[in-house]
Amino acid sequence: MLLRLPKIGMEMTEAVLARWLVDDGAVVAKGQALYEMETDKVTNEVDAPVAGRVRLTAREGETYQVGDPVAEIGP
Amino acid sequence: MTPGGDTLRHMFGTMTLIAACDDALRSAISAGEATLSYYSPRGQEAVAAGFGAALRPDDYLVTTYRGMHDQIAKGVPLRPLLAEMVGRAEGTGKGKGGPMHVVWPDAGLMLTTGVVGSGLPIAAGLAWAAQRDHAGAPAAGSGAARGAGPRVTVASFGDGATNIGAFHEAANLAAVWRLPVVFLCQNNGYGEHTAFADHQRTAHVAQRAAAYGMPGVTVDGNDPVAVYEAVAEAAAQARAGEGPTLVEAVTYRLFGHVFGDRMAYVDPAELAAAWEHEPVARFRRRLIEQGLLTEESAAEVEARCAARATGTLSEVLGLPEPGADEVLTDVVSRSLPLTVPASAPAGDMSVRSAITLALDEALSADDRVVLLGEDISDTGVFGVTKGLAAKHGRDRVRDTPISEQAIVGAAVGAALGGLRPVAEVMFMDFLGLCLDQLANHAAKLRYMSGGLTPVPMVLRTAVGGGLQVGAQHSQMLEAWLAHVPGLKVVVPSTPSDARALLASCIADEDPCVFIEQVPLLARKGPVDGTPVPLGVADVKRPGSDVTVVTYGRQVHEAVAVAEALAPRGVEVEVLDLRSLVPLDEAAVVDSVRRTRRAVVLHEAVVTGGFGAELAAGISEVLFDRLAAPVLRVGALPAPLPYAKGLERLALPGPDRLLEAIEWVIAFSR
Repeated sequence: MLLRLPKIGMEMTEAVLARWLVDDGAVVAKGQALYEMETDKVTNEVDAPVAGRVRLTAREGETYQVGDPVAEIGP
Repeated sequence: MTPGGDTLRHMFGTMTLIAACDDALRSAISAGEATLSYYSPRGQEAVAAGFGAALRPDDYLVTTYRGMHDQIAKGVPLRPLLAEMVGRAEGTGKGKGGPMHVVWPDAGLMLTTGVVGSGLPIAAGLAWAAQRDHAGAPAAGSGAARGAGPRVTVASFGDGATNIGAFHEAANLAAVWRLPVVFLCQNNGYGEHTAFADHQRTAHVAQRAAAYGMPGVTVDGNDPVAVYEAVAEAAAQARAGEGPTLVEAVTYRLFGHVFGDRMAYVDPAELAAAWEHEPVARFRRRLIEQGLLTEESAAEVEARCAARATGTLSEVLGLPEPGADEVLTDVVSRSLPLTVPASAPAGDMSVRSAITLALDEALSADDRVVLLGEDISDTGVFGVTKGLAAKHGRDRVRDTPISEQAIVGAAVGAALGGLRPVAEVMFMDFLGLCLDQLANHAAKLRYMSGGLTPVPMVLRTAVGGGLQVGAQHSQMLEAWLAHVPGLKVVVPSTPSDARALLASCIADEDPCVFIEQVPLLARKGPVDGTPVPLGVADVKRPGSDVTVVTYGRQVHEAVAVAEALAPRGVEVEVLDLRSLVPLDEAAVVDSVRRTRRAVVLHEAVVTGGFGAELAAGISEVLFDRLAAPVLRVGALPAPLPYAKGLERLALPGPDRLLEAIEWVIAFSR
């Protein structure tokens, strides 16, 4: 499953992927926090939508647009 | 808190004077000498005399169109009061407000409103100013005798007003903020022509106080002593920091709603019984029984009051009306353009941070600056007020209930009380919830008072299409505001302008609406410290072939289109108005005189938009000079759709602007 940067709130168009909260290749539970993203307004944690092994494709400190791929979760 | 003999005689004198003025006015209207719409307070004299005697001279009063009794009891001098009622230049508002809009700040009378219930949120704002004024300071001068503490604000209104949203929003806000307010309901049995039992189910208005967690008391409003005691107690509670009280004074309106009302809706037996209990005669009998008056001394008071009333009315009827130069005086402050000191340059930042910076600087520079709005002590809905409550305190960056009418009304009242409020209404689409406060009060109070009560406040509001938030969170409504004389309307396009224009708005002596377009908030740019007065447009891109007159976010779209056209040999000038009111007409005319072609661009729908005003103005002044008709580009005339493609189609994108520019360039006559 491809994970894309979500839109949180009315005006968000992009965010900085501030920090990964799991390691590349980790097995995560559904609802577990995967990463922090920062906008001008707030910092949000983004949770895993499903359980599985996560592969991190986006880099910490980089700015991504809403809809950009940031990770994959597989079996 | 029982009144002494002198106070009782004073109250009798007040009641007698009110009745005498009422009699004189009704006679003059009957005789055709005076032609006002007159809302007689006859029958309600005891309420006014009672609360008037219970207050300090510096206490505030907010009343309504049936307000002459309140005004006299609070100490408004008779001559300017009656002169205003008949529209003479010597009136309280130079004859420009009329009987429904008497104010006299020297006596604490800060507002008389013609809109039922609208005074209550404004009273809450006055009380907030008094509460802040008093914080850490001992009570001033005359206070000692009637209790130290902050000024109290009495909001006087009828039973009919207790069914309107403003009542409920104001009562709730005053209770939540523990404001020093006395809500004084003069329950005269009718809301216009509708009897009390037909307009609410509650037996007593005072029962409604429980809903807001404040005390509610019902007293005989035809007994000035009962009103005095209830108001004195409520005022003492308010001064002690215990918050508001709802005092219901049950009385009767003896001459109906308005002069000429035949009261066909009233049972004649009920009216006859009310005259039996008529308060002035009743109180006269009581004071004679108590030995505080004699038949002779009472008659002497009556004769003196009658002579004063008829004499003063006759004098003011002989006075001149205001001169023609008054028609455009007091609409806004004369002090234009306002000069704001330069700020330190602040480097690159977003529009959002620039607005935060301007608010922070204003809060730091001036103790009178206060912020109010929903969730603002956290971050506000778009993060604009982030950090300000932590730095300046939650009493200056103050959260409100979700009550737009109370937010804007309290800002109006706070401004009347000497603060510099910056209110936030979360979305411009919600203006409909508070437009009465903005358009009928903020905009008009300076004019209607002949300059006595300016309203230096700012209303910040966010808006903007293109975010897929649907038709109730997107619509640019600046044309509604620009249509109301007395309001200033500002739409920044860059971080530097946002900071400077907001500083100018906060420093301004008039109500300013500052429009924050959400899609712009993240836009970054350099912020220098150059002040930007209101009413000064800015050429964001020079050009010689066509002028795009625009503002806000569309400035950037226009510049992008201009850059795209440049290689084709078309030089587009982009003029950023920055403020719609005041409008920099000279800049528009100068630019279009050079380019001879104009396209007006805004995000709002074209129909009835501000672009129509601009296009008409350009055509009127430059008709002979124009090489092509002035075109308007704006949103399509539909509520803004949600689906992404439809939304993009509805908004004025670069394609429609490009098409319009090409059309005016190609046009030849």
